[in-house]
Amino acid sequence: MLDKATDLLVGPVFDAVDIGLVVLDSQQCIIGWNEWIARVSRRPAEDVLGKNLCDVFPDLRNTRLPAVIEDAFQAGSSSILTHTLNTLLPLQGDGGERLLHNIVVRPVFSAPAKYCLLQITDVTVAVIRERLLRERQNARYYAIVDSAPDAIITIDDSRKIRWVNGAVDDVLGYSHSELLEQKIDILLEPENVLLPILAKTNGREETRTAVSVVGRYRDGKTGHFDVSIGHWRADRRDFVTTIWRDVTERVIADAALRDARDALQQTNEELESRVEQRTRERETALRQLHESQKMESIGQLTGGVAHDFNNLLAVILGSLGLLKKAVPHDPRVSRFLDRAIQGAERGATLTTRLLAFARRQELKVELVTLQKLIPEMLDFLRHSVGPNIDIHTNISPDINAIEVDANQLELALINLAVNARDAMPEGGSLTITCHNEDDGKRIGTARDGFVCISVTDTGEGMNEETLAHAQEPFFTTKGVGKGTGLGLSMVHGFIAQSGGMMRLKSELGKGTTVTLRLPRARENPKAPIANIELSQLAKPKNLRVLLVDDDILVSMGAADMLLDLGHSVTEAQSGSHALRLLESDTPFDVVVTDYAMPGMNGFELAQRIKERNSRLPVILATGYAELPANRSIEFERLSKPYTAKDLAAALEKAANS
Amino acid sequence: MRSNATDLTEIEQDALAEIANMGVSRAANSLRQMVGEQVFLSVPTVEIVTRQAASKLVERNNSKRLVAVQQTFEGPFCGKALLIFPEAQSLELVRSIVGYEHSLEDVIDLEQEALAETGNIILNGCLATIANMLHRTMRMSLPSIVRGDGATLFGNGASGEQYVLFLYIDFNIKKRDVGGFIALLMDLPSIAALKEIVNDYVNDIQRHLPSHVG
Amino acid sequence: MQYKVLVVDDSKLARMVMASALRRVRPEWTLVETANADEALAAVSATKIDIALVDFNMPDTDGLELVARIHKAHPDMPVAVVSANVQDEIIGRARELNAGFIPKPLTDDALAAFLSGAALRLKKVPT
Repeated sequence: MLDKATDLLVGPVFDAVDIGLVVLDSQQCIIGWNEWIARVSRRPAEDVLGKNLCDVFPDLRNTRLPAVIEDAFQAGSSSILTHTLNTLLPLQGDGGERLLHNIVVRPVFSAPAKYCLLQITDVTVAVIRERLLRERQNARYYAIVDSAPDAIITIDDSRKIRWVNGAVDDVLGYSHSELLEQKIDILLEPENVLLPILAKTNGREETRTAVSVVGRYRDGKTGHFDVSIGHWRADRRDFVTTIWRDVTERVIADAALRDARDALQQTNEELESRVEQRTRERETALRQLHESQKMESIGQLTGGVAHDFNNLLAVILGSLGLLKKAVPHDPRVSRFLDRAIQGAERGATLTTRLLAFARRQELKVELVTLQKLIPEMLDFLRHSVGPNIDIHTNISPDINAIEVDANQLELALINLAVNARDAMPEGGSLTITCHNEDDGKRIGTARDGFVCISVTDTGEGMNEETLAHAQEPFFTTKGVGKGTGLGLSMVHGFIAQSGGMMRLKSELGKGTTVTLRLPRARENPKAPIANIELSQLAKPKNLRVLLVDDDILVSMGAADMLLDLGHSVTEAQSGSHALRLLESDTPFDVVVTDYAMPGMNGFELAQRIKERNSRLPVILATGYAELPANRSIEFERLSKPYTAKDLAAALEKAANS
Repeated sequence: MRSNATDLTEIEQDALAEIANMGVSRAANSLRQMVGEQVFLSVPTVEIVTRQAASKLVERNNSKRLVAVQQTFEGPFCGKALLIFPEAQSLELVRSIVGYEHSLEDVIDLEQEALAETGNIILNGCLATIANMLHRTMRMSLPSIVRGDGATLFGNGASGEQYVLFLYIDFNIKKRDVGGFIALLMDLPSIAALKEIVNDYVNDIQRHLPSHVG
Repeated sequence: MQYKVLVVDDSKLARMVMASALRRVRPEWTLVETANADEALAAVSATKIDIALVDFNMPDTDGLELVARIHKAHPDMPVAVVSANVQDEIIGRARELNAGFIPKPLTDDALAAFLSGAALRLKKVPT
């Protein structure tokens, strides 16, 4: 209040203040209009005094001001009308610039009269200053933020997005306006780690590390983001600014790397298991190979025999042919001859077939003690014949050792056992016995000292005719698919190749016995044997003989003969083998070679030997009609089949030539 | 605990509710002028509670961050009128009135002033209605803005103001829901005076005396 | 002419104000007081109501919707919305519903004006 003494000041003070003062009466007519308002409204007091405010400024009728003034009178309300919500008076500053102003409306009661006071304040400067300040700060801020490649999103405490930078388009696919007012939730998957962190506003929670988040692009696809978070407060309100960096590629790369590592590990494991498997497979294959090799051996045995057979047959056929020509025609004689020829031809057919089946290979000869071998293979035998057959053995403990291929012997025995089993469909018993035999002459061989192995069954047995054919290759009484018919013949071939004999004995309904006779092993098989009988021929000097023959059987026989004659023998199976031996340091006195050999034949070999060493005598052992008729032979010839006497003679001749 | 002085009879309750209804409607009318669209208001519920109770009631949903526009009033009864919102809602209210063309920052700048004016409109609507209905003149201050929790807004009662005429109100402006409270914080004599005046008013009506609208 | 006036307002005070004003302005007319929409509709179907005055701001009842429903049953009944809420939209909707509008606080003059107009309309309608 003003002191009474200074009532006079009211007028000057009224006009001195730096705000607008307007006084209205209860009709809303202007009764006070100060200097300030007059200046800025460009309306001098005399123009407006006494007039209704809304008549002076008609636009005011569209504003709240008239109603507010009325309220002041009616209810005594005081009101404020701000420039932010209202456009009020047309006021200008000195430079003509628009003045932003607020108006305060106050009832003034000076009983009994009621007046209304308007106070008009210029807020332009403050507003502009604030705006400038803000713009200056913003300029700095925007420069950084808008140029950032990462998306920067600010949310308020209800998670609504309030501000975004330009990068949201590149990073997330949204335009500026699309994100404002949305909740930040639309950028996130329902279960995400970000929301709880955003909510934390306890004091200074400054998370320095970015959070890995799965976010959603505008198109709905998801990506991986590293999101940095900063809480801040302005105007007593909490905000959170998040910076989003798209790291999807990196995450994908990491994941790919992990996957690759896992795949590699898996591959390793697979590889290991495959190696294991292969090893097993290989072992199986090796076993099978071994088996097949064994089978080959058997085949070769048979082939060897067949080949020899063929040679012999050739001789027989040839002789028979000649005989037929030479002998005067006699029907009885012809019949005998024809039958003989037929038999031989049939034999030839059979051996051809055998040869087709067989291949040739070496036997692995070793010392075998049957006392050991047979018990060892008993389990396998039992397994082969099955539970219905009883197996008994009777092995004489003092039997000698024998020189055979142990595997082949086993196979031969198994073969016999299987035959016995097939002969005993209802079951029965199988007996294997072994004993020494000394009397060679009794069975018609030149050699004595055998070990005898018998395999006896209590089966169906064979009649005479079957027995006669039993050893024939491909002959079988077993049904289709039950036997190849080669078994016995193979056993026979093997035994023959091993220098032994096989005999069959059978009685229909009673059983069959197969007897194998194998020569006893010599103590030193390769060295010349002390107890060789000397022939009645003049004792020749000891020759070192190189014996060349691809036929093992024949070769063994010949070697025996040579040894008998007191010579030392080295055997070669082929021409090239012989040549190699000749090149070695081993000295030889004479070469005895078969003619018919694969690769290099005897004649070629002889020629080659002559080229190298013209003084080394070569004896060609040939079968009938093997050599071309018109060949002049400078080599000593020895006709097959030859006796020991023939051989000795040829040797002497060659040695002395 | 309720003292007799502040118990409202049914008719007193009814009268205050009707007055509050009209007051809030009047506020809505004023707001509508600014907003340009219909402003929706719920019918307020009125009760008289203690100051302590009021400071708890305003913290519903555990909002302890509150904004209030405050005006004092004098007349046959005096006290403080408060328009109270949770802080987040106050910005919503301003934005709904100011419009959405402005950026967030502009709104924050404007917020203080706009909130003051808006609160002023609403409170004036209510207070003026009371004054009119009861045929009394009052004096009201300009608005000021107070922030804090319930206890801060309602004070420690040192001024003796212990009772609150408490209104729950819900606005919907431009499809935004804003829920808040209007509280008239008064001392016991003022409450009593208010009640007396209300009763006089009711009696006048019952006696079919013409209602003064002046 | 005696007419029967229906008043719908949840506030007893408001109903009293209305009754009081009506007594002064049209003492010979009768008044039916109801507090909500259900009561109002029941009254309209039970007795012959000539004029209706409906409060706008009622809990659980949209005053304007009630006006519409009354008019469906009685298209020619003069109806007015009574409210302190004088927003343009509300006044506009009342007009659309062919209803009058009387602002609160109710004045005798405003009420009298509406009732005169209502009576005129009623006289024109053959009963």
